[in-house]
Amino acid sequence: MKTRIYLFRLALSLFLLSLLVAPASAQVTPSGGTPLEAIFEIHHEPTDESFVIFGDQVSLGGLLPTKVDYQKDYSKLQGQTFDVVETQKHGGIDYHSFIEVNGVDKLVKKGTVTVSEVSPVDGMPEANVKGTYRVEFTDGGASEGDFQLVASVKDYNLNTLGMLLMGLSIFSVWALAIFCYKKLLFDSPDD
Amino acid sequence: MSKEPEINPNQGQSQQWGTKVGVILAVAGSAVGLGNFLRFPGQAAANGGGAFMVPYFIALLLVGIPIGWAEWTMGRYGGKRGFHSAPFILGAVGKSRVFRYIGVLGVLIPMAVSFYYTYIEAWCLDYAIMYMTGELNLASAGGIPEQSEAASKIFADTVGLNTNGIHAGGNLRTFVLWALVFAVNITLVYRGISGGIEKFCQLAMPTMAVCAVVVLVRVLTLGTPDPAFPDQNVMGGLGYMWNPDFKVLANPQTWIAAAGQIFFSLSVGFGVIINYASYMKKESDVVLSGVTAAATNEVFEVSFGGMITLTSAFVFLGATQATMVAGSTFGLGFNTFPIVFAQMGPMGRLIGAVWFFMLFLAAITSSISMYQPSLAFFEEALGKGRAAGTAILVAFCLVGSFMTMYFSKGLVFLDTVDSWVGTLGIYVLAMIQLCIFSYIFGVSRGIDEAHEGAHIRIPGIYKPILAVVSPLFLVSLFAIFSYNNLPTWIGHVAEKPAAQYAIGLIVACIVALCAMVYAGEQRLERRGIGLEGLDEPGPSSDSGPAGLDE
Repeated sequence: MKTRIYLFRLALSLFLLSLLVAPASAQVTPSGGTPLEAIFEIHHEPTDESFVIFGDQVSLGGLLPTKVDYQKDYSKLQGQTFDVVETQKHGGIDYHSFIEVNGVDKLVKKGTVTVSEVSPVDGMPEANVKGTYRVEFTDGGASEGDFQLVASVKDYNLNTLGMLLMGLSIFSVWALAIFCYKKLLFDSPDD
Repeated sequence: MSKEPEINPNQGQSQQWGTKVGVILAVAGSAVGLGNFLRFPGQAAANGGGAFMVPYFIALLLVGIPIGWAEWTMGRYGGKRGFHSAPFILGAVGKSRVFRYIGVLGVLIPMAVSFYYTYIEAWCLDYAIMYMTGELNLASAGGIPEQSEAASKIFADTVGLNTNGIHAGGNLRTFVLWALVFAVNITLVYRGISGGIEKFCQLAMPTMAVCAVVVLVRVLTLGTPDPAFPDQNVMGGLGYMWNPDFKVLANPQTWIAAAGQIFFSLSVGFGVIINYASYMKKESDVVLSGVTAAATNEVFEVSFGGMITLTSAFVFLGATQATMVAGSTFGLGFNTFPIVFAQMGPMGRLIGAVWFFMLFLAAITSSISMYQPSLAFFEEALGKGRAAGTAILVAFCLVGSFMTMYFSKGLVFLDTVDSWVGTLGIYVLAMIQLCIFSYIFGVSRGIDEAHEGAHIRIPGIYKPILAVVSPLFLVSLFAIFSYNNLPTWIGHVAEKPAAQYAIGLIVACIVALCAMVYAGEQRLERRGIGLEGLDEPGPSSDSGPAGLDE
């Protein structure tokens, strides 16, 4: 009983500790507005690279003429200004740039994103980027603000860890199911 | 003096599961639904990919399986005492009349969800037919943007998204298919536990697995369909779904999402398991049955849902589109997938037909489980036979389903019932059931009850889990969920007439069901049957008591 209480307390402590080491929020902060959670993603398109500052309440995308490339040289972004476009194609589908303002998604007509500072994230294939943005909406309004985001190059190929987790998960559920059905059908007496 | 109507003349020997596997396939059929294929992948991809499986499996062990065991145990316990509906089972377990009225949720939830679920089932069947006949041919629409527009129009017409009412050229055809689907559901349920539900699930579940394997093989052999987009390939699709982002584990929202997914996926707190388990024999193994049903659900969810859905969306449409649709069950299933199949060439029509037929089977095995708890309740509360109970069930469902189909604009009516009953209601019922099991019936007594007839034992660690961890988890989940969603839901009800009609229907159903509980209580009192039902039979009996009939 004492051991169980100890283990429970240990587990609870570890869980609470994990909350304390949560990474700093990555946000887009409109001037005078509430911060919006987002990420800075770089996508490899067939002929270009594109970026998108993307979250539930914001999507600002455009081309990335200064390519980060597959070496993930994020320092190339520093001091650069990129155009935000009204719509952007990914996989043949059009995506509209927007920012949520007072609970309403406002479509962006055009704008710019300027990256003022790039710093590495220790041991991770990502980078911290800071900068400012300014956009004009299709209905004539405008918004500007700053951002502090984590930039990453989207590389989707199944990696080793992903393969391991996929394999383990599928193996586990099948193993459990086979064990249960074997027990039910062959090892337990008929009802 | 008028003769007292028989209470449940079809109870007892004629209403039992025929085989050990039958009840498991029926419960698994109830659990396996559209969410396994359309909701799980989106939840995983949005919450760290492969890393999501850590909180997912922890939630399975700490929330899903233990709450499932509690339901299976209470159901069999109630069945031994002649009860088969949630109100009377919970009244017997909790030894209080109050729990009979709270148990009305265990009838309301499956019944109200069936109002719209059979409609969704009809959509799946409609799409399967459209693929089989070649009527749904998005490739002819042009490029992907045109296909997307065409897919959206087809979906809007099928479900009546743009306007209320039932219209020719719109959702009239879906209404006709719904009538067919509803008739099939009622027929299967009317035929009884063994002769209808069990037999159907024994056929439907393996068929669903075969369909899933066919689609899975096709998806995994897609390679790189478009050389212009070399990153959009099967390995990229699997990576999109499974590459882990462990940072998300520090975010409590990830754990909430995982627990929520497990919770809804296993159909605990739905009123079905407690009803199905009541038809088990006294010596049936509820522990092994509970784990087996959960494992079956997980096979479909993890190995099929986790490999097919987003992989194929990614391969043809890329990451950003996959991300955009991953959070929307209907969007993914009925808008995105037709576009995916359109890219598969001539095979796309066959795969599309198989896919939507599989979704139809997943839906119908779930929907028949939703009718049975209500039917059992009408029989039990009102002392009616199966025919009369079915007629009452049909009356309720005709009203509810017709309102769902009529007020189809924006799917507001459907969403309202789904939110308040199919989501919030499930949390409430699961919490109540767990509290009754753990704190009133008692964890030790409950585990001893579960061990009757069991061939595997519940590990000792589950005593504190059932007593502390699961209730804490569930209450926390409910509190956060309510905080995040209730204000929006209340706002929708205040603004939208269709939502108000839905709430009105729900309230009317609750009032009617409570009145039936009262009527049932009066009848049981006249028969001298108390809260705890009939005494258990002696050890020589290999089935439950003869039932509440005489």
